Amino acid sequence: MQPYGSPLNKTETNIKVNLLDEQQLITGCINNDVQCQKALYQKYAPKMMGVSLRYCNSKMEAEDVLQDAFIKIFNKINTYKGIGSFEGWIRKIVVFTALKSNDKRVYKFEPGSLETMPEQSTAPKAISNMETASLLHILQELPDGYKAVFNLYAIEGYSHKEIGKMLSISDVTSRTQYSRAKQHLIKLLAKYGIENR
Amino acid sequence: MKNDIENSFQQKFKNFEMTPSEGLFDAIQAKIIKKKKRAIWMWSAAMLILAGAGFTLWPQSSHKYDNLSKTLVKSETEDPTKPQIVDKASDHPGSSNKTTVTYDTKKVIKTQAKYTEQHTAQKTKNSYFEQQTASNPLEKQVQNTISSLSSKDFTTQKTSDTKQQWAKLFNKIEKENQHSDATQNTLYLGTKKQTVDGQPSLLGSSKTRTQENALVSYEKRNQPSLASAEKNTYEQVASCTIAPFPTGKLVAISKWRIQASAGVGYASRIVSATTPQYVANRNSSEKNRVSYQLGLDVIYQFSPKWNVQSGVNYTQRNEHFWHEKKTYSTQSREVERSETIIHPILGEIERTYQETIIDSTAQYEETSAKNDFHKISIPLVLERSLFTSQKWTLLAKAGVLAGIYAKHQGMLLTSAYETQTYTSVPMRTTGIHQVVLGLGAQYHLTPRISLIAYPQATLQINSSTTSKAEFSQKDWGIFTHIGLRIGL
Repeated sequence: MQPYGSPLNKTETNIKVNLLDEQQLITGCINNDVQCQKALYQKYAPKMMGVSLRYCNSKMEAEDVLQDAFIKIFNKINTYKGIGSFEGWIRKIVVFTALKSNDKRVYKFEPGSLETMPEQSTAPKAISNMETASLLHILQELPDGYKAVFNLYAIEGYSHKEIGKMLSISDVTSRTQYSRAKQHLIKLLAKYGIENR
Repeated sequence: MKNDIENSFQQKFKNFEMTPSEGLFDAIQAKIIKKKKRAIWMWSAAMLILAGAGFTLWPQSSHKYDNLSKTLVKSETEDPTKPQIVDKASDHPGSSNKTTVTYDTKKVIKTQAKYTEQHTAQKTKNSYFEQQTASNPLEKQVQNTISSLSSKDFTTQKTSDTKQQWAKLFNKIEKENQHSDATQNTLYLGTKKQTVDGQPSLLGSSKTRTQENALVSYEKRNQPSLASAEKNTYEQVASCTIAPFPTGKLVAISKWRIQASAGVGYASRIVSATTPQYVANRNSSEKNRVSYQLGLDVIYQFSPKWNVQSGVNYTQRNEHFWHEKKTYSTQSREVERSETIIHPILGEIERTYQETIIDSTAQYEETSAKNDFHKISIPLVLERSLFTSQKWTLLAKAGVLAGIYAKHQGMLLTSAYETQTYTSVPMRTTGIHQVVLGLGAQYHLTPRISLIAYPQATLQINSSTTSKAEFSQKDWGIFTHIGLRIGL
């Protein structure tokens, strides 16, 4: 496995956002203040890079997505009305950009029924013991369609109905794809020796 | 419900971060600036296009003196739905004079609206006309007369003062306007048209016009499309005052024009026959020469933009025919020859013999001729003005040229590669019809006279030959006409 760079794990206190500072940053970005834009970028880019990487197949691709996403963020920041967290707003843009960025990426979703899916399991403890970078590498090995559905459902927390709308598929298809993605992921984990122990 | 795997992944990636490559922010900034620059350029281009389109399409004031071409075109068509103001002089005992004043509806409504405003404000002068700078004495006179007339109540129009002023105004129009034609029943004053029914001498000899004839009253005719509000406004204005004249140059012109034009161009023909060899023979023996067209047309302008034309059209297509025929003649002759043979035993032996030689001589027979094809047709053409500026009008036309006479002179090849004259070919002498399409420019020298330059293409619809001929032939040509169009 080839880990990408050194992932940063900041403590909870470090990533807490001072509301006033965030508001100042937003105002500065609305006024096209480059310093504010840079500060905003420095604040959120590492986290959003982490998000982007989960949807892409390489670091280069993830950086392209991140670049497009930040251009959108800076251009559309005046549309942020303060409803919901600002980070959530940014994350949503990054996720949407990642899903839409690669036009050549055609998600293959095959309709199927859940009954056909045999249930397999992997020890969660084994996953917890893994390095995130290694896990990311395994996640990136998933086919694009599986990767998108798994990311959206398991990590982002979207419902199958929301995923269906985002990917223009039915929620049943999303459910099926998720189940298949999970099975595929378990196989991949097993391939790398991470099994129920 | 999510199981442990999902939770494990969620926990693992919850705070997962990775620093992107250095310089990514600079790349983002560069892209934003580039996008902004592109947006500025696009906006600038869009604004330029809008400004250009606005400048081009903005309606030019039809009150301007020099905007004659536009005024003419606009004024020439009488819309039956437009309000009309009629001089009821004909109602007056002992007089047959009748003056009809026709307004462009929009202009009248606009003018009336302005005037009503001023009337309410109890103004004695019509500032609408003051806004327009009078550039010559006639216009000033017209404006002054209108101003003084419009300030009076309609009921006072019957006074001799008003009548005198009207009479003076018409006199002035007649005397000073170079373009007015006393023989015409119609004259134009800006967008307003005045028609003098049955009494051309009214304009030519205003002395016959009595003060009584200057009595002006109003009536509306054929205006079903006028909204009631407009109708009321019109009535209100008409009942209190004379609707003011839009000022402009007086031009007498009817809806009829004549046009004479001559064109040179390239013309050819499309030959079809059962054998391709015949077509090849024809094409190799005939070369196109400069062709000519002449046209004399009468034009009827039935709407501001559309007119219909007919008249006489003469087309002469020229060709050069050249054919070289090669013939061979043979002649035999006897020649006595001798040769010496060396025999191994007999030694040298001399032998004499006769030889027949055939001489072949090639003869070239060259035939050349000037082929010319004459066609006289009656055009029926519809023309539309696409764009009109102060001096220029862009025109497009389409129509048919109905052939009434055709003559073909010269030589051509037969399918046997022999020459023959056109008189021996069953050619049509009548009924050769063509379609014509043209896009031309008109330059207005004066309100009546304009120069035209008209590139046009003609294509024959039917064959020049009858069904008995071994081939069919359709002419086509591209001509550029230069001509003169005169308003009657």
